[in-house]
Amino acid sequence: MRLTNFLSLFSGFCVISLVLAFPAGTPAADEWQPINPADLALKDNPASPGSHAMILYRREHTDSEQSFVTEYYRIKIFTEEGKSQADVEVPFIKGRDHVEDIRARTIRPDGSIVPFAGQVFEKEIVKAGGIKVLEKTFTLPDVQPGCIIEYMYKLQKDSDYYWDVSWSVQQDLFTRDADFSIHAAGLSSSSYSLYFRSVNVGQPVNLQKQKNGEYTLALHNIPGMTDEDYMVPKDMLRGRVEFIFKPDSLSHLSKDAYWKQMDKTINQSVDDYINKKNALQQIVAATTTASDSPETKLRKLYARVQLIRNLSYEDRTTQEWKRQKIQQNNNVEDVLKRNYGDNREINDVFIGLARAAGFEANQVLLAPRDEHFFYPDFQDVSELNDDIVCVKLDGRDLFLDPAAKFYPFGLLPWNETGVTGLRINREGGDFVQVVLPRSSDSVTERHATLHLGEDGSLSGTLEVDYTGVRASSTRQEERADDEAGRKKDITDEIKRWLPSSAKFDVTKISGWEDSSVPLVISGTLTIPSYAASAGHRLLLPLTPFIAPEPRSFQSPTRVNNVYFAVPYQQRDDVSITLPASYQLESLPQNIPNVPEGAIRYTMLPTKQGNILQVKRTLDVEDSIYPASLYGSIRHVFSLVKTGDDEQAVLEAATSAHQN
Amino acid sequence: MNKPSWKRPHPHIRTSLFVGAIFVVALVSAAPARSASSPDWLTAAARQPVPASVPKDAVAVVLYSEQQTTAKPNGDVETRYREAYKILRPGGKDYGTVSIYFSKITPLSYLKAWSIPADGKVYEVKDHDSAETQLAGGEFYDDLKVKVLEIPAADPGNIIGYEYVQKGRPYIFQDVWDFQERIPVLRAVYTLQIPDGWKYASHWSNYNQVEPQSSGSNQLTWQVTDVPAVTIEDDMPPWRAVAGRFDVKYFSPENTPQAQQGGSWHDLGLWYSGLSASRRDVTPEISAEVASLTAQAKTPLEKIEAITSYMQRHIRYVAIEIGIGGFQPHAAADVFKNQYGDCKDKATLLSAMLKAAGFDSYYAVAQVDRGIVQPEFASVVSFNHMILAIHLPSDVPTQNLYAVIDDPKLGKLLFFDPTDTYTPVGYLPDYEQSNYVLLVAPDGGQLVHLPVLPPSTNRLMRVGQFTIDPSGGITGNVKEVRWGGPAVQSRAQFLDVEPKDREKVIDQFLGTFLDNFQLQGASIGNLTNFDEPFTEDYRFSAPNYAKEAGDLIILRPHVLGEKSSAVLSGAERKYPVEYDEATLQTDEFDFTLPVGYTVDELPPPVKTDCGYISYSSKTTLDGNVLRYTRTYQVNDVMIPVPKFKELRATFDAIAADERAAVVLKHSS
Repeated sequence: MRLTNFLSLFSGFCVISLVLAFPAGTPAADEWQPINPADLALKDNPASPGSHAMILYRREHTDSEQSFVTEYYRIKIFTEEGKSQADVEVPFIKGRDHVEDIRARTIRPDGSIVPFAGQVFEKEIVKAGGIKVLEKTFTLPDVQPGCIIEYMYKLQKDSDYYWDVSWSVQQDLFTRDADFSIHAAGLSSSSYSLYFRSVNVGQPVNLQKQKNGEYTLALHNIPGMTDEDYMVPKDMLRGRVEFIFKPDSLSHLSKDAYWKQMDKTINQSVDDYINKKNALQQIVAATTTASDSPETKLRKLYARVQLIRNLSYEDRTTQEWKRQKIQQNNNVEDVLKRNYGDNREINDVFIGLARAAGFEANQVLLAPRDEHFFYPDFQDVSELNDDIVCVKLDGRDLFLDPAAKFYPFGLLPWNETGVTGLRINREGGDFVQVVLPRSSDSVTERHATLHLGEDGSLSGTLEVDYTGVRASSTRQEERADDEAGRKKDITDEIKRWLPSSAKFDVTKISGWEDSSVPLVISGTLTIPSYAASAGHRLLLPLTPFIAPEPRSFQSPTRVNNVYFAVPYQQRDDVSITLPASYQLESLPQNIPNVPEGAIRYTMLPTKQGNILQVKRTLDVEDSIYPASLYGSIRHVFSLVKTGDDEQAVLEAATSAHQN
Repeated sequence: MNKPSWKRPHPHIRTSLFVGAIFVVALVSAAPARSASSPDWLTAAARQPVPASVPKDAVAVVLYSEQQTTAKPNGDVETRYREAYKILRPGGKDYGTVSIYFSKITPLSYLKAWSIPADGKVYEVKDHDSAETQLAGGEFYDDLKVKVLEIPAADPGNIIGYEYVQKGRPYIFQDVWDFQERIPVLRAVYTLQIPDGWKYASHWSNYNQVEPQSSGSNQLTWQVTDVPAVTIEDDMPPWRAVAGRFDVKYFSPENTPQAQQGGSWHDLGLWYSGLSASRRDVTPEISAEVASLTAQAKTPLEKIEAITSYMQRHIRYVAIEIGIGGFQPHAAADVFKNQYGDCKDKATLLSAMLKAAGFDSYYAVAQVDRGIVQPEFASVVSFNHMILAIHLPSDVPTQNLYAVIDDPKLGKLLFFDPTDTYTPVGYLPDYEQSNYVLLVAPDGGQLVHLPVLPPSTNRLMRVGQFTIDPSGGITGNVKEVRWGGPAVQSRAQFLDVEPKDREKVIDQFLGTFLDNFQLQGASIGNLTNFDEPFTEDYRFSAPNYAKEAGDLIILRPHVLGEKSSAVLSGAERKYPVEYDEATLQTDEFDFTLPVGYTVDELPPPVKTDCGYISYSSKTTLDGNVLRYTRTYQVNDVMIPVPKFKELRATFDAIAADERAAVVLKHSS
């Protein structure tokens, strides 16, 4: 395992090779910094006005030789709410780490100092399986707005720590000044070089080599993290600098050479694992016929592999696995014979079967984008912790994940799309782009056939059809529940689209097991007082469905890119039979459609006899939209809300007649 | 890069995580899989059939629940818990994750769990299979821990059970037997064994009293069967407040603290008075701070306001509770020095500061959920909070102090919560209204019911002036003034976000009601001046607000704010509807009509009153100004089940009014 980590190499956008055997150094973080009177007088953060608190200064020193980190924080408190910064928690792993030399103090606005003399508590975060994660907690005294608080501590780790170094540059608070340093001398072997990479730091990261051999980095004005709806998960965005010690035997490798070497190792592993030709050919022969087209063959093999019990989906305790006598599969024959395996094993069976059937099939390693992104330049193969299969069909690359339960042939889980993967092959591997699904591959269709009562109530039937990724992900989420549980979950989900007074009762759900057909939910819908009265008129909203997106884009400004998990479409077809005592007086004119662009919206009401027919579409065509486009996105969704809120005007028939 | 040792394996390492885990465990334990058998009590419970009366949607059922408490003459107490469940549906799998709370004074001496699958081969897990954490209490630091045990095969059709024992010498000699659950309970048993000469007192809440059976010398057993599940309804009281519960306290009459805990509210007051003795001593530093704070105060009330305000905003809430620290406050001197503390600490320092200023005060031990404290049964474990009752000199005017009661013995008492950051002196946080406190005086305690503050004290007034343009857009200003609860809610919203994000709060609010709008300016007033009403002024335009329809403009005059509640749309109701507070809220919106337009139709006025909630609205035309006014008033916080239908009708009328529209027509 450790060797595996040694082999995880980085180069990144900026790669610095450090000479080893630095002289041993001690951190300089044992003294308080002088207090600048201007900082005491500070009333707000001039670089980001309107903050509860800000980090005036932060220093982090890493000593890889002696395996410790020292931290120093100086924080200015601006508001009462900012006082919570005075509660400090330092997590550590008992037995591996020690938190030492905790010092803290409060500097009042008048410059007087209150040293921390309270108790440092040791709090158990989790103790399980022989591992005990604790945190040292302490809280500073006499903290008021205008104060500066500061604290420092040393986190002493075990001797392997130098393999595990990173600086979390971006904090939740704005940081005015930060100094980072690393001392990397004294490795047990002299055959390693230090590499680093920076991710999302947002400014140049120039490590400076000092005379004592340390590398230092000074950063200024680092924004705090901002939480927003529809953003990439915060931990994937956080600005950071990461280090790796790379064996000199590999350090000479270029990016291409590195990945070729990784490919060679992994390819051999895959080949070894699937090297059971007889077993595979028997399955191919039993599953396909000679007259099958290539695509039909592949589909049949895909369907065959999906029959294998996927243990990755089962939430079992260790005892249960043992009771079931689950064994480690050493090759595809084991998987086929036992009819169980995990995700990767099942996909490898598919590779083996496809090859046995004459196809070119390869493993593609990728980083699932709900967990982290993959940066090929960084040369870190451990980022590629997910896999799919690439099969050549009629000269085209076809990406498949037969291990993904409920995903039909040709469809991938969203987190495996829109990413770069490493295709493993005998030619040294190549990077392939697994394209995003089209919005038409994840569709929600809503067909409502409704009657409007004279009292303004609406009732009738609603059918919701999920297709593509939308259907598969729903099937997967609900796989462990029973019929009643699924019904409740689906009902709750549909009710979230409807006015709060709506009543929706599911009458039937079909397509749970068969991923080749849509997942269809049928039910009855009632919305009391749906149409509002205006004297002898009724105001009839064109659609009962409420789009959730516009509420997330109210703010006129945006910091983070807008991130939808997957492109998607909504198609609504609503027909409302009007009561005989009313007739349509007017339909809204100039509904703001957005027929073109990366987010499209149409709303088309028509009248056919006494039926109001409304067709609505929303098409979100991409996954990530840069923050620079936020104004346009906000505008489009404001139009969506405007269109969705349009109303038809009905007039009482007698009144209309009198007119 | 972080490469923790438990990181997922490299892609070409084939051992899957779970298989790897099996082998790791196998290697570490170096023992064969346990061939276990279930204990007799669980085996017996497992034989019990699930009756047809159990609802089909129940995810699991409690087959058997047992709690046995054995007290010894020296004060040691051992409590044994046994639970047996049958999992009925996949959603019941959660019952296989067991969380057991313990601390240094209630350590676990035994823990085992079992699962009986359909094949009868029993699984067994023990204490060392559990995970443990200290994050259970949610305080900055306390010694409460929780063990989490994952019981294997908690699948539909299977039986799971667990048993644990806690031994220790508790500070409080009382049990709460929560026998009613969110799932049906077929049989639950509570047994109490006390030494000779000891006494006990008990109380049933939300359930018909059951007489005990004697099962030995000083051993009593209570049993309930076929207890239905508590079903969750919208806006109901906390479910534990309506669930069946049995409280029992036991004590040696010769042991003064125990006897006081086991006695009346008066005795409980004595016990707490003793426990907190000398904690409120005034130090020179405290006196100096009080002198500084009150230097400009001209009246006794101004002095009180200066001190309470300081306590609310300056003393940080930090709870450090170790051992008896769950009940006993830190000394006022320490709280003052540190400038932080929990609710007890804040009440303690406040009391000391008031004393330095010449005011007496009393601890008021509180509970933040209504319905937990049972007046008929004095119980210290019914409480979870602490506030203060400030004795007001007779010359202090009380007309603007709404949290005052006149106690026949102690005089005028002003209740105040120093932990609540936003509720100023004179008001009470909503959760303390219509709730009980134990008032602790040196010569004993008494239970006091705190009042519901009148609707007019929790006031929201919203006034808007708009102009309508010929295409249906509106532009205008809105001014909001808030007192009491609505002010507290707004202050919390605005103060919780960073000052730079406060405009977003208004954006978010407007976005709830308007399709497409531009906030053109906003200001807030008295954000931290809690003794004054909170104000908000904002100006916006909404181009598509009113809808054009031919020569008509359709305008919904209720532009902002929502009083209707669709959560009460269910047909039947089992539990009361609970509101946070009584309130009076009014809207007044004026619209200047576009030139050339006149009113074609106005919505009818609405007036409805179910006793607990009243609502009225009307829309009128005065020249070219359309005026919409409405008044919404909640009179009480607890609305009984028989009133539910009337309440629903009231909300239906409110909802219809909020959707109603004015039709404007071009006069040409």
